Amino acid sequence: MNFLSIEHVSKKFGDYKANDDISLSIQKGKIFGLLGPNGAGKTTLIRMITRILLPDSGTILFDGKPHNDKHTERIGYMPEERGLYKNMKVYDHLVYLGKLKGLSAADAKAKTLQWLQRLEIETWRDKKIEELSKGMSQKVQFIGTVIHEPELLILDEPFSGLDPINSQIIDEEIHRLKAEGKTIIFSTHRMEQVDQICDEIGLINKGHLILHGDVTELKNRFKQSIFEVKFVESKDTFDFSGLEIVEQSAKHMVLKANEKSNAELLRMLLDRGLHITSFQEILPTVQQIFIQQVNSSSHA
Amino acid sequence: MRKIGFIIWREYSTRVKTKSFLFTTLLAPLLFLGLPIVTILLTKSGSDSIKQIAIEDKSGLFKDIPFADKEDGSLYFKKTNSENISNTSFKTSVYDGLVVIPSNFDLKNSGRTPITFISKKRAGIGVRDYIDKTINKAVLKLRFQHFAQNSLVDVDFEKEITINYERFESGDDKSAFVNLASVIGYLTGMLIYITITIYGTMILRGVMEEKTNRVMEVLISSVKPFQLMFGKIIGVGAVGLTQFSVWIALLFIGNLFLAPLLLLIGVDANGLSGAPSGMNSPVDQSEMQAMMMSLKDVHFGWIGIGVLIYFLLGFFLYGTMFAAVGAVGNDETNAQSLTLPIMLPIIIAFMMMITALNDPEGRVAFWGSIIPFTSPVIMPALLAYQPPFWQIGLSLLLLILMFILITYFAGKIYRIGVLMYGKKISFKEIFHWLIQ
Repeated sequence: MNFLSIEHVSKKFGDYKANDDISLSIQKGKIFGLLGPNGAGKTTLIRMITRILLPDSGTILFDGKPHNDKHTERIGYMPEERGLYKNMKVYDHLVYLGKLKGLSAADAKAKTLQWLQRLEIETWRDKKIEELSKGMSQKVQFIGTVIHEPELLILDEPFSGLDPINSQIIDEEIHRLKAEGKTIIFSTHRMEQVDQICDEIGLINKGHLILHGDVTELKNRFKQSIFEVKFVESKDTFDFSGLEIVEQSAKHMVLKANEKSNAELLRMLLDRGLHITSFQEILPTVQQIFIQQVNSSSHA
Repeated sequence: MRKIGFIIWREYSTRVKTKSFLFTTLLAPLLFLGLPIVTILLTKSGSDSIKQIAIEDKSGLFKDIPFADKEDGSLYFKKTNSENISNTSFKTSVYDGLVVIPSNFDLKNSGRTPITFISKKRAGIGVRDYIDKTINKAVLKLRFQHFAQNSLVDVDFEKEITINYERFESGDDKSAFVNLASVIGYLTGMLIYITITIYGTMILRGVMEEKTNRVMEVLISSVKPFQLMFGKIIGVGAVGLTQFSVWIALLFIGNLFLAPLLLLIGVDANGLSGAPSGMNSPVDQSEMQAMMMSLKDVHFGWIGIGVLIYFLLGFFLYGTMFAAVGAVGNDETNAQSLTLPIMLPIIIAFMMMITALNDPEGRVAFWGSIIPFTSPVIMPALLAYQPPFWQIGLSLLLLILMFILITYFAGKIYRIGVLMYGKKISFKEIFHWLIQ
């Protein structure tokens, strides 16, 4: 089921088309990676989803209904450019954010305490934001984003500025929220994170959506039949007609199979008397797909 | 609506709980007490509605005594030869004012036979001060003459003479009232000027903080920019009102001491300017009484309500503009240059107020109290002079209309400005947003 459907959405600033006829859908309970180079139009799209901006044309359906301001209480948004009131105390600040998201005062207080405990930072509750380190305030910011238990979570570069331990904690929280059935939009430049975290991706360049789909499916679509073969050390030299050897050492080899199927390739290798210990197809990383697609769309 | 309440409360409570708030709230009243000195010194400058003054000397004592014209030529005296200027002839004459010295004028003690000053328009404090001094100088000269001729003995040379100020049409001008009205006017106008500047800047800083802190984007994904803007303006306004209430309460407590204190300061100012008479003289009991009596003539209740209304409207008018500038500014210096177009009308209003109080029925006072950008400062200052109701009504109407217009434009600038990070925004761009 689609939790969010974006249909032919466009947004112009003056003569500049920040988003041009973008259509994509995000399924409930999935983590969606919104990717694109700087200035591609990601922030504009996110701002339209959070109702900070309204589309010039096109429609956005939120949980099956036309998007409206009431829905903002069901969205949690952590912008890339983030910040908090420096002179407020952690607890007061979180309660305030909770109330702005529609929680009752009592709920906001209870949830704040609950989250401070969960992330093991209860001792910070009476500290002012300005006394916190960058990593610490990121944690507070994360709580502020999820305090009202939003069904749609939008995280723009959530790991920037976090040390490995805190990254790990946030990563766990993201997966826990996913397990609870929340839908998450994840915007980042860090492709290795996308590989690990996202179920689906959408790739935006110059205001256009150039790629959109399930990560596994996309990897298969863009695979280039490259295989890595490991074998028991052999002193023979090999010459495979119709195969391209990308890399070769005494114990391993990377081959580009071109038109051949997996089975044909494997049989060919076995026929040469190789003692194979491992045979694996190498799928492109999201980063490779990203770079390839951005380059080809930019040159088009 | 519930959310705007949260915003107002946050803006209010985070400010009121600070030490600096406590400090300014309790110390500022002390500062205000020093202001009347400035008032009186400033209002010594000329007036444009009273220029030519005729002197009708029924006693004949002053035949050979000159009355000095004002050095800058803004005020000059002319002795009339005719025995009597009738009401009709004064009305049609070129004279703005008439000094009448009674036939039985007593050089020793003028209390029972006072000199009267009749003017077509209300004489401001500056004009009255000058006339007071000039006549007193003339009387002093006369006393010396008579003393030298032995026709006057046992005289207190420095005893000030009494001058009654009257308006040609309405009679008694209540000189003490004018004094008081001018002080009250100055205080209220000053108060509004200061608060708009201080709290306007507070709004500006608040919006800039949200923007540079990047908390803005989180906020506007939860509430509408308009709610955020007005939540802040109302919250900061509430801080101002709290401060006001404390000040008014303090003034109320100190009310009994206020009138004598103002008078004392008035006499001091006279001494400062080097007037020949009145120096070191003890406070005249009757003058003090007159001042106290005229306190009753001042409609404090109405003035209070008027000041409150103008404070609120003025505050919202300027507050929205300060919020818009805060949304556009990226750093302190950038904001400062953008603040200039807002600060300018406030400063002009303040300068106009000084002129207006000096001449409460002059052109500056009238236009200043009508034009929306200056009226929040000038009209409250004039309220003690009881301007006509239609003038107040027109002024309020224009102010409200301007507020609506400014809110529309400022809201637009705010909405777009808060989303622009790390980019200097020029006036040209702002203009584009407005016409979009």
